[in-house]
Amino acid sequence: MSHVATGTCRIHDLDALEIAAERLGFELRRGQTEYAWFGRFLNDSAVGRDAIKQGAKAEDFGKCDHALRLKNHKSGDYEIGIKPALDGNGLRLEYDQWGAGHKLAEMVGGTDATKLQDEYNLAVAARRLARQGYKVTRRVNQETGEQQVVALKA
Amino acid sequence: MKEIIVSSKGGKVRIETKGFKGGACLKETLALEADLHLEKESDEKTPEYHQAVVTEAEHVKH
Repeated sequence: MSHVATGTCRIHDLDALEIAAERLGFELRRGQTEYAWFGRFLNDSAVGRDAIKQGAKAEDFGKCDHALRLKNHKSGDYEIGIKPALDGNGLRLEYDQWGAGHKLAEMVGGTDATKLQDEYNLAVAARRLARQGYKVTRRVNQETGEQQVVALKA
Repeated sequence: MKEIIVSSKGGKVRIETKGFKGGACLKETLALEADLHLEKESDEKTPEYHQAVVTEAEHVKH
């Protein structure tokens, strides 16, 4: 082993986000400018509260640049909005966690969408390393249960 | 054989490299880290990294 780097990542690559979302049961709807939610901000969603703390305006909830919709979407289901990050660094997710949003929160990994972030990180890695000539596979680490991308090159 | 293993858990990514000589592993993961917009929390060089650097330095010396 030569080195080990760890850290957090930002979402910038819409193609990788699409791959990640599909693995979790969503379809990316590019250019969709509104996402389905309760329709009125009641300060009862951690995602919404965090966004307000960081400078988002309640009147902008429901607006987005792209959206994630459940593959088996039914009338009344909520959606996830994809919007520019409030600090200008990449993209962020915005959705209503209340009511119909419980299911979304569970699927993406809570307020911080850690499951979606994990899938996104692996999708970015697989695409990049394949472009660098590596043979790329996915596996589950039997000890930790973590999903991994393994890249090999002679 | 060069190997790069990328894991992600709880939103945090971990990149391990194996089989590289010296600092080649750092160059090889630069583009990946840029694509990920990785904000590093740690970056540890393993014994193999230092061993390879010493071996290369000794080779140049001789």
